[in-house]
Amino acid sequence: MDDIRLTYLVDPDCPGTLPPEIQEGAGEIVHLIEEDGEYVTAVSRTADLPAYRSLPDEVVLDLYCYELLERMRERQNVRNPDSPVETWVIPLWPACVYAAAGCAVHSGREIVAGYPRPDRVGLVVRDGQALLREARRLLGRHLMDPDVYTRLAVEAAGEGGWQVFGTGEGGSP
Amino acid sequence: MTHSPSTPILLLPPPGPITWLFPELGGVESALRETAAFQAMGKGCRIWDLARMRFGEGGPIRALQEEAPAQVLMPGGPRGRALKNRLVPCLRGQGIAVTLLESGSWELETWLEGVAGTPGEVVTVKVGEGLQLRLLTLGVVPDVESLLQGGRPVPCFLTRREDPGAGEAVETRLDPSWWGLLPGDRYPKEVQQGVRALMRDLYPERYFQFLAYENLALAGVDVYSEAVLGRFPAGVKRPGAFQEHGPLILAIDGIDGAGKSTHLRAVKSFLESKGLDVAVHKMYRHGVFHDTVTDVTRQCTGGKNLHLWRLQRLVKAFDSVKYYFTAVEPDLARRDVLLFDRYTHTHHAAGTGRYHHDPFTREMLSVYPSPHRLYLLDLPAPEALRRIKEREERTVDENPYMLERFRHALHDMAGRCGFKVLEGLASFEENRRVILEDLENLLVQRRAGRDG
Repeated sequence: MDDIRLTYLVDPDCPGTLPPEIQEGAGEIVHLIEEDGEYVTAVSRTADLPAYRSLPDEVVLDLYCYELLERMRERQNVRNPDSPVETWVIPLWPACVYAAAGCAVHSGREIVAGYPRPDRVGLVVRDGQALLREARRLLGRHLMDPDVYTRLAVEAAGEGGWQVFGTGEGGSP
Repeated sequence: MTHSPSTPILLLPPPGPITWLFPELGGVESALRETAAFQAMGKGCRIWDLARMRFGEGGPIRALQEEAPAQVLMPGGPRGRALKNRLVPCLRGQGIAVTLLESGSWELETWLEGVAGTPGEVVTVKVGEGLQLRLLTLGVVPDVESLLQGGRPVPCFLTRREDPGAGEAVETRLDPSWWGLLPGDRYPKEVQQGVRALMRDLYPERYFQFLAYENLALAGVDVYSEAVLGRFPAGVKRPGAFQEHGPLILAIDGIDGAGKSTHLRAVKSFLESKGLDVAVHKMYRHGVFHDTVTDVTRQCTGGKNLHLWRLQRLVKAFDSVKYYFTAVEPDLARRDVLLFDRYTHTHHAAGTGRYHHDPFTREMLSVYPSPHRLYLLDLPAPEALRRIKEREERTVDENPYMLERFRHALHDMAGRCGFKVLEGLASFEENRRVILEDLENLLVQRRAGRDG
């Protein structure tokens, strides 16, 4: 991925409205997990089946974390080589979801190690309802504490030098 | 005596893996359970001792759903944490809070942590009238010769949760139920060899049991919670409901090189010659999915990150679920026959073949209906390998051991699931004759069933 300037945008309002300051200079904005894609369809169709409700949380989180990796690899294969800048939207940041769901034992570390290294990361802080909506859409269950997720994401942003947008209050910016 | 839903239920977890391997610890376990039960009664809890109670279909989870207490309490040690991880998803949304009790040594593991002393020392503990236990608490692997003086101690690792500052030897993401058996999930090769040597020298009669647990623990499998709470709890039907109506579902399965593709083409031609609309499906997909998951599991090379084998099975099963909603379900509504090149049983064989355990693929693949007929082409691994070597595409499982394990797993399912087993060494013509004859009969039966 050395030939493009890559931004990860962590935004739990996918594919909702993006902050205007993101859109400028972001290049092509790619929603890694499509609204009507195979993954979301499978999650929504299975979420309420008793067999799926009995899966441990760490299993559905590992599958989400892996799905991001697969979609990133797919994007690498199909992207336009003449486009020097891209922004990839990651709805929920894996490390923070694992922690906010209380999952200490998982395979996330090895999966995330395969994500391409971005040039920058932006975090959009949304309200708790948006987080829970995304958890339901992407994981099929409300398995995390949204306040804990937000706190951890903001901490990760501080440690990693990410840009932070939004306050998490009053809905989407 | 009746109880209101507001009376909490205290779940007492049964003995776990460390006691399975060292029954010597059973006396301490019993004493702690008695104490826990006594204290819980004082707090007005109902006690469900999972080691003593018997539950009906659906196990403790269904019983809890029916009882619907406002709160379920559990000891906050490793076994309580392991059970909570499995209970919470099953009870979510039903108004039942699952809470861990943080105080008190109500679990053997937390008690052991309390008496641990300095890692590497042998501690003698009185556990009853005239009974004492020699405990060896480990941070590192000690010298075995000196340990054997005075009788065999019970080795117990002070397995800690991952802590970047704690050093490589104790870093772990082991499921909590395995507490005490291993130093962690990532440690140097020499430590791993040292642990095995220690077990072989101290308890040679339990060495293979230890190796089996080590394999499961490092693979990220929590057999403890699955054994205690059960798989397919509370209203979860066994996978693959059989479809009386709708299209005929056929599958040809077998290990790589068994000759599935050739027979698939023959079956398709035969069915189409009968005027039937046939869709062929391959639920095991290639492309970016296969390349990505293969790259992830390459991190297992050299016996490291064994939990990624489990992840591989989960990811592959879920890809087949994605494929189901995209490609299979629409065909169930519009085709006469769905013909599968391998079916869900290959997923199950790959899981149990690799480490004798199914990592929840049965639950995931329960969206697929049972096939009306599955033809298993059975071929010895050496012959399959000889055939595979003539191909361009190769897979990581192309070795005689793994192929034989997959074959064995498929064979094991054949009797239970009613496969029609075909001799892979027989000629193509002979097997085709058997399959087509069987299909003729199947079609006649279905027609009769529909007419009658």
